[in-house]
Amino acid sequence: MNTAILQQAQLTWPRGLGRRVLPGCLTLVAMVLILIVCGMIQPRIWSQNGLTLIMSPIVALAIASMAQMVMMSIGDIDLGIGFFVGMVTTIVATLLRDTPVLGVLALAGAVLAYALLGALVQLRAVPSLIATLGASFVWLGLGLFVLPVPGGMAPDWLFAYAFWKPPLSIPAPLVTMVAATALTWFVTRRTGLGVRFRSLGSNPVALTRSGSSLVVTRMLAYAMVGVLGVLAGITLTAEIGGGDVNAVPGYTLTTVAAVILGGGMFTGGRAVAWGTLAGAITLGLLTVLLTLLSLSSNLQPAVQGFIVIAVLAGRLVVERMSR
Amino acid sequence: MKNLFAATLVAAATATSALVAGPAMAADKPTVALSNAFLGNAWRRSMITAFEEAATKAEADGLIASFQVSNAPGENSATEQIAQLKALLLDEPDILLVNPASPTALNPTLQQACNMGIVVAVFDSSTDLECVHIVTNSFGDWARLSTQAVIDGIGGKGNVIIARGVQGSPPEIEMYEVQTELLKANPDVKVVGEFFTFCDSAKAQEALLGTIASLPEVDGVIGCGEGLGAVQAFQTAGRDIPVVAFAPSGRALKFWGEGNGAPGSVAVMSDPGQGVAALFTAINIYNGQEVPRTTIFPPVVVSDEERDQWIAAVGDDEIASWQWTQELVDAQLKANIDGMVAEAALPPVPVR
Repeated sequence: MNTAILQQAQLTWPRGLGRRVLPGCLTLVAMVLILIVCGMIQPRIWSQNGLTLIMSPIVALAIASMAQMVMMSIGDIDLGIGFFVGMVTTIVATLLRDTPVLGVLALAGAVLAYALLGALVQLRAVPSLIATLGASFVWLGLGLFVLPVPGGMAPDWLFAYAFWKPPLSIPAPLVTMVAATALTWFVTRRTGLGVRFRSLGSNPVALTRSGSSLVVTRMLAYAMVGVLGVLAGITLTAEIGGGDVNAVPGYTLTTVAAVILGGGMFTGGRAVAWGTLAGAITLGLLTVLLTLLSLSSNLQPAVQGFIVIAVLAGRLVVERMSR
Repeated sequence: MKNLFAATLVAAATATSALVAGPAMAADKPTVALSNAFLGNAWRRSMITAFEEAATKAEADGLIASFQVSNAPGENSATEQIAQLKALLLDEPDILLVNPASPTALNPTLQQACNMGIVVAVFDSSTDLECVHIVTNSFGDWARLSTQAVIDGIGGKGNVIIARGVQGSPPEIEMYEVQTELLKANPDVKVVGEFFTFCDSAKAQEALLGTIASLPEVDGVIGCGEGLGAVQAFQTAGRDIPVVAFAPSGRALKFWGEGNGAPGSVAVMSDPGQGVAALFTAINIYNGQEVPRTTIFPPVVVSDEERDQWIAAVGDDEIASWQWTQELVDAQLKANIDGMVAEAALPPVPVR
């Protein structure tokens, strides 16, 4: 090995870090730009109430995106998260309100079901796409069983949360999102468990050689996805005031987009909690931006798609440069 | 429990009003915002077109100060619409018209709007929320008008098929009850078949083609707008064309006008002009008029005699809609207050 080249490599920017962080930074820039444009059109955004108004619909999406990010960090994709979050809202708006003990048990059961799904994927070598897609129909069925038509009502403590005003004029949705992201970041990047998640995604052979069980690791990862999914469902119930299993089927693909915007990869091995948060907020703010811009009705979906593609194209350029 | 919910909302409202307490209303004219859940079908596009036309005119006439239309992205997603509504709330319109993605999921957001002192009217749907006014078509009226027309069209006796709507949906159940009642009142009309067609022309054609050989002579198809597919199925099978209920889309009306569909056929559908009806109703509420919480407006009905007039007024890719004006809405509101909705006169055929 040529020592000169080695030294040169050490002096420059560590490549892995760059590849991991730069796409997320780009999305962060896009997010800030969108916020600034929104604020220029509608200065009322720059207040605790204004920020709470525009951020609160994004909280559930951000936490669901964290779930998807954990899933993608082990190299899997969750096609059932949308209906899972919907199913959680039906449980929260009925069981958790009327009989809290049963409700908590049901939610714990949902997390356990996710862990078992992980075992199925690992032991039977079922592709995660198929397993989670199949599970999505189970979630839908269970949700319809709990609440055949949208309805129910969020527990009172959730309403209290929805109108919570933290001190120092900090918008409550931001607190929730940052807390969920920090938790996910800590588990995936600062614990041994997180290292195992990521090596399950990038190099399962190494994980086996190090003496870890692939089954247990995958089950734990899926359980974490389940926990985050439950959290997303609870915050969504606060937002829609009740339960509806069909509330957010779109989350399934939007969360994937958020992870990709945040710097995640389909091939696994990369955990980008903060980038994903920026991705989810960017996607969520697009609706606000388009509403404030008052564009012609026919143009709105096209502009939304264009912004997403532009950010992704930017990521491609950034990745080329950091290579 | 509900009280606590209300109390929390009121608490939130007082907090929100800090944000609202900006400039006092300068003029008496209201600003209007329309929130639409999605733009994915001809009905919604016709609704938006009709609204933009009427609102532009209302602005020119000095009835409203300004208006904005906002369509949420996505496929009828309640969460997208919540985000959109909250962005609209930042603008603090005086009147908020909502064509909702869900009858329940928007409730906390709409409550917030009510608490800000905004006149909120939901149309083409319903909601339990007390503070919201509802402007809607009755599915019972829709079923009554279309079924009666087909029964009259076949002369009060003969064989009919019932083409039912979206399996298990509340509107379909309501419509089916009305249909069954009307058929009971006409014992000479015999039902020889029943299909679920989802009020969709293509699905009706498929369902009918599968069973048409086993059917006796059919004089009429009682349904909710799948006439085009029904007629095509009978044409394909080389059978006599029955009396049918078309959808009042430009395409179906033209098809009908070309001599397809037995005399006495009809076209009925919920009215895309509901957005306009909601606009004038909300203006009245804003100006202090007492209006019932739920007001019923008639669905669009195209009869044999008026068909050609309608064809001239409806574009190919549009759904026919009533052209509501302030006077027409006032008359309909009066009928609602007097409890005479079923007898109220229909608006005139629009002219373009």
